[in-house]
Amino acid sequence: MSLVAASDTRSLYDSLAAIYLWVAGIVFAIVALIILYISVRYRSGRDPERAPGERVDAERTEGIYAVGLAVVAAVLLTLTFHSLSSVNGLTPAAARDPRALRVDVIGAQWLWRFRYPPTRPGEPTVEQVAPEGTPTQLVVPVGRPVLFTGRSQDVLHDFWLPDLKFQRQVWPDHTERWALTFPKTGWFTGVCAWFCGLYHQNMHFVAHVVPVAQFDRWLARRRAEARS
Amino acid sequence: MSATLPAPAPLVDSLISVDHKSIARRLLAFSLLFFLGGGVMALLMRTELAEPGLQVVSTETYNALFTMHGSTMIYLVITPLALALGLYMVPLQVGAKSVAWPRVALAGLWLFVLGGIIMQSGWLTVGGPGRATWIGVAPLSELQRTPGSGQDFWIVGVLLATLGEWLIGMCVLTTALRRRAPGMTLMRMPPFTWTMIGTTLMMIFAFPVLIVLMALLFYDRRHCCLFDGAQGPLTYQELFWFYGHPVVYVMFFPFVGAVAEVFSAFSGRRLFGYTFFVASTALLFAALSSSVWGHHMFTSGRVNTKYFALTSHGIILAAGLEYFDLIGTLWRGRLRMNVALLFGIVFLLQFLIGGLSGIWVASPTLDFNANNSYVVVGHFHYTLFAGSVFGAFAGIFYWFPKWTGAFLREGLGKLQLAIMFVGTNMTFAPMFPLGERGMTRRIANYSDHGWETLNTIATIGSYLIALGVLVFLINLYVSLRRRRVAGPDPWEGPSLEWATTSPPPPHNFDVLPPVRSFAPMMDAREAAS
Amino acid sequence: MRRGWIVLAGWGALIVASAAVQVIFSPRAVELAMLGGSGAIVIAAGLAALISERRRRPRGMREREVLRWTSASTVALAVGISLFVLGWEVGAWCLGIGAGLAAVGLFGVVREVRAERS
Repeated sequence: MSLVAASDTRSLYDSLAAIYLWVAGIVFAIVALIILYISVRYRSGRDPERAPGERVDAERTEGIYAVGLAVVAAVLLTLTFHSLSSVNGLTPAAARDPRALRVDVIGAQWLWRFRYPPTRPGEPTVEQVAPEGTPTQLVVPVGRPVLFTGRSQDVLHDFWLPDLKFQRQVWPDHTERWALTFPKTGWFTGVCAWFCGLYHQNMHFVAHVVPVAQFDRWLARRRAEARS
Repeated sequence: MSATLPAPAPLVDSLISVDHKSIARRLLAFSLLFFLGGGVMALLMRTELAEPGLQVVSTETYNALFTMHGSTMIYLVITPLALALGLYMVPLQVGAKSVAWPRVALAGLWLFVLGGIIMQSGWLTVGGPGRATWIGVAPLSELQRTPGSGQDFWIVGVLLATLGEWLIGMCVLTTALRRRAPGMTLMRMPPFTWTMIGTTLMMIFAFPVLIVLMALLFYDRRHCCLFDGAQGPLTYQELFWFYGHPVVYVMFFPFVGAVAEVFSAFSGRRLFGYTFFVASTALLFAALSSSVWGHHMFTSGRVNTKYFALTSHGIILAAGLEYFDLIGTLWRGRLRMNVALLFGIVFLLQFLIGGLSGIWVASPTLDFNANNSYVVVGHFHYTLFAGSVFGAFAGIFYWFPKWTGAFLREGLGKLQLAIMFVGTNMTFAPMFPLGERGMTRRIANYSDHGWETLNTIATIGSYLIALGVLVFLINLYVSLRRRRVAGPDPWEGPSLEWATTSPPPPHNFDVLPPVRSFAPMMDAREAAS
Repeated sequence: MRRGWIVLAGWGALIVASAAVQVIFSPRAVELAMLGGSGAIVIAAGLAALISERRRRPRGMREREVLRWTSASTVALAVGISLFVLGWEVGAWCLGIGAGLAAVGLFGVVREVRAERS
């Protein structure tokens, strides 16, 4: 795992996930093998005359093992704290970054709205919304930080982009900020990840990630449309 | 050696009996009934999810189904089942004549039963039953967003059932702390009793918080505005999960305790590492589990994230020590491969998957993706079903002869285990990749993202689980009808419940053997030989 | 021998210690209060248990003889409470029936307990 803070949630997730998966896999394999061995080796049928073992504890061994467990937990926790700081650090970094795109996210039963607020005085706000039941398009540039400001108009919703391995709750009377960088171009599904009522399952959006120049042209055209 | 069964009590007497064994049997029976109901709800859900599109139920019905499936299984099945085991066995294990405050336990039983019936009565209302998830989070659960009396019945039901369960838990705790036989010091209590102590310690403050929260939610739906504003949904979640996390350990500890007893009996060894087991499982594990609740709210960004990640990772220590002691009990034992032991071994492996996936979501970075996805659904079904329910069956096959004086059939039990093992892993293992691929939970329909195959496999698995449960019901029927009589100590178990008849008389014991360790029956057998 | 209170007081202290750890990171008042307060309650329960254990000791541990194996009054009390709570949803009639039944049950339970004590 790179010690230099990665700039997108996907790579932070992938490197941490790989470590956790390996640890889990190894632990499971060890325990499963021990159980398998025990089930075969110590069956009473194998040696009916043998008396069961008498030892009731192994305090030193168990104590050393406990320290070992604590070390494993500490290592995983340290890696987690490190990646958490990186993820949390994306938001203030984007807030300070003049190149960062700002997008407002509004969740409501049962659709997403995205607004691109003006960057210069006199510019109109661009709003993206789609008919209920079809995914709203979130158009963003590739490789540039996007600072989201999210809220809800009614109940708890949750903005989840599985491909970026990131989600955040939004709820009424409260704004939440988070920053994401989209590393690749393409179309990426987004869903609401907090049950929000009858048509929760239809509350989709789709991130359309495009090259920077194409994005700038798109945004300029939409602002012109909004002005007229 | 066969015990004379007491004359069957008239029905009314058995409903108002203050004998803890009778109360526990009722609690077990009702839990089983609710289990069957919750299971049918699960089958309907899985049938719907087998393929994309809505084939079986409407979205509205599906939302009610997952709410009621989760609510039934948590509030009305596994929690009361865990308490029933404790209520029956703890007084026996500590050599007491009765449970402490038996009337309180009886009241608890009926509060639970009525709460359960009231919750389920929502199915009969026009708007349907509760359908705002088993959590009932505001603002969704408020009157404007989820109108109708079904949701109100859900609130009343949860409140009453939780109150009843809390009362029973407090009786069990008091029994263990205050009604022990002479010679049974704290460090001579059997492992199962210690796990019940851990369970009921957590309940002291966690369950009342839910009762208060339900009262607040009820008030909010009648009047106004308790969960409005920027803090409202957060406050609801904080209060809920303060109960909602300990309860999942309430639904686990007693079964790991039962498995510890089973391992001890069928391995012919005392529990290995008793002191570590008591310290780490009953005490540290219980304290940690009361301290992790914010990890359910990592994605709100508004909790003490690092603290909750720390305490959640601390579980590695507690669970790891517990596994060491359980495996150590089998090591160099003389294993009799009875069904109870086999269920215990499968429990150990399957719960481990649940536990490891729990460490996964204990990391906020990983949870930012996994939260509310099928990764979490897989995680908690591995702990609660593949884990606790299998552990429950280990305890049931072990203690059934004590409760009824008859054995459950071994052959049918092994068949049940085999079917359920395959079915369980077929149902829940696919949920991990599904969640990783972006399938969120609580959806009746999904478009064809290539998720269909895994969902179909999971549905087939769920039908196998149902088949396994059916085999168990057949086993119950056959075993009670054509009884194979069991004496007082059919397994050569370690603790005091095996020092009395099967089933025990109302006052539990005629004579108690001397208690000089946590395995008095093993001591007595060794002294005699 | 009767050291049950230690389990309560000791575990309560463990909870308070766990709550204290929150302070190392950015603590939130509600979380600190909930866990710390719960620990304090459990410690208090332990101290109450200690006091009641001390008081009992001179007479020795005497389990109350169970004089009866059934208690219809208890069930009436529990059903009454349930109907009372349900009454907040379905109407005053249910509230009334529940309250009445609970009162009858409570009265019966008090009588049973008095009979056992004497």
